[in-house]
Amino acid sequence: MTTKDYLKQAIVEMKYEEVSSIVHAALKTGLTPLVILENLRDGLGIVGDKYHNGEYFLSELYMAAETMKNALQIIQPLLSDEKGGESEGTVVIGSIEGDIHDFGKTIVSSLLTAAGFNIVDIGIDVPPPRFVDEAERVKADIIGISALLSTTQPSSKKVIEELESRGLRRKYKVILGGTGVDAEMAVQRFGVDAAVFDGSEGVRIIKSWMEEKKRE
Amino acid sequence: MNPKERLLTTLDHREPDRIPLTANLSLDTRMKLQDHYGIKTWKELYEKLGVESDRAGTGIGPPRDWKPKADLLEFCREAGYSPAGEYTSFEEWGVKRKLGSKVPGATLRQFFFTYHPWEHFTEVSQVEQVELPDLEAPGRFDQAKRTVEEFRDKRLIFGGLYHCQWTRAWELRGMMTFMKDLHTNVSMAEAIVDRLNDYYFDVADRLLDLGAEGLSFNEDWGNNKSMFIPPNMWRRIFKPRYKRLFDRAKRRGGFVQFHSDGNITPIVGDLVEIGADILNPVQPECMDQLEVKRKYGEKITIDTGISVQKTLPHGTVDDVKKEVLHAIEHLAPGGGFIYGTSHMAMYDVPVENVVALYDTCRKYGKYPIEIPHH
Repeated sequence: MTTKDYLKQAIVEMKYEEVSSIVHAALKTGLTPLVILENLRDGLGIVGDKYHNGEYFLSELYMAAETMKNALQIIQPLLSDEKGGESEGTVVIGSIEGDIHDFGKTIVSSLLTAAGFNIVDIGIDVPPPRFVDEAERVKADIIGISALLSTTQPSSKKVIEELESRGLRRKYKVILGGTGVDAEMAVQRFGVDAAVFDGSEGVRIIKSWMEEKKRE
Repeated sequence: MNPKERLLTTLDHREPDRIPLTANLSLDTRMKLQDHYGIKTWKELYEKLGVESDRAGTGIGPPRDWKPKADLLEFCREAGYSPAGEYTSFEEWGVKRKLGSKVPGATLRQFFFTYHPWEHFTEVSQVEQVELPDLEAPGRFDQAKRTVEEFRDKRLIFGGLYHCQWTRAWELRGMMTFMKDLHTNVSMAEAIVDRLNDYYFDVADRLLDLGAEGLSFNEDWGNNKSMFIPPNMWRRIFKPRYKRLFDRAKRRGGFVQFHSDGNITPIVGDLVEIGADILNPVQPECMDQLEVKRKYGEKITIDTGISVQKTLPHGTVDDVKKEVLHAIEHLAPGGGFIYGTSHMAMYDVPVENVVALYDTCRKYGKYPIEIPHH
């Protein structure tokens, strides 16, 4: 196995404790921080696929993201001068008003952080206008709304209305996530750009939006 | 056939006179239905719908001299819980929570956790030595005694162990911390689960001694996609410990009722193997109910209902009828089947959909099942 394979494997096998020494060892072999980062991210991509196809479970998705965060603590300071060290994009994320569920949001935040995004977590039970206020304040690219219940999901529409009333609708992509979300219905009725019930799928969509944005 | 006989017949995998019906309705939905029918009480509403209270549950209660503080009473009023019930026992365990904001259209509010008292523990010995709510406290089982006296013969009485393993563990430790324990600090995770297991082992015996005819577990193991932890980890850590608790009821010929939201397909066979008799809710949005019936239908009773995430809030009356008829046609024959709402029907549910649900159940839920071509 090559050093690159070890890096990928550290994430895929959730080597939470050992990942720091694996990264240090990789640096000693002469791999650049950017190459190390890319391989760690490849590992995270594999984990996302494994979750998506049912081979991995939620706690594994979480542990892989936490393992990645441990690695990033070493890698990120070294990347500052190097191309590729910049953030992949900024996501404002929160659970919508009336919804107090924290768990899915935390996992998605961990995954996005691990994938190189800057996450601004605005908490739970967040009034719709605050999503827009915060997105404007931190110059976000994407707004992520978490809503687990059929009764709270419709409030995502209020975020869309708030964006529209301030003339900001085209500035932000908005994604709704929650275990009970019916994607087709949510996009149609609430006007969000995407809706998912699978966190790894949400991360994939957010990444593709950022790639599109960078191409524009 | 009275409700208890009807339930016992279906649990015995024989066909009763009709399908036992249940309803989990939010306060707002209940009020809307009462207005719709022009009736005043919850009891009358259930009679109208054809829903019977066939089970009574009792967990442990607070000590006799316990007085709820003003803020707890306010919390209970806003969240819709009894001050002496399972959801307020957090008080004694040291878990802290806060109410969420009011949502237009909903009378009650949700709550969320703000403090997990075991989260800072770093040593197994801390788990082993921490004080738990005293089971010897005078009055602890008063509620259970009253329930047994009131409902003996009328309902099947379940001793509630409710959140006893997984849910209580993460309530005390914090969800993310406990998940991390399960992957990286197994001795800590096991110490937590064992401490709770010993405690609830004792609770189980005391409730059964008082006259409970079974044990009831409320543990959410999945989301719509899959389980929170890998099934093999569940089998290694939780299955033997659940078995130890299930056995308390089984050795006396009692029943085991297990509730878990979400897709728990991988462990249904394990639950059957260690003695679960009733599985709820076998969530229709994410589990193949027909497959559960086909594989385990002779051993486990499927206690389910219509989708409360999709059909009931968002579907038409026709969608409701179609889903109910499909469930009755395929799941009811041979017994081992209870039907109603698969979870709480929230305030966003149209009244006509709930009416259609129970009208269809009453009309087509009589044995022998005969469903018109649909």
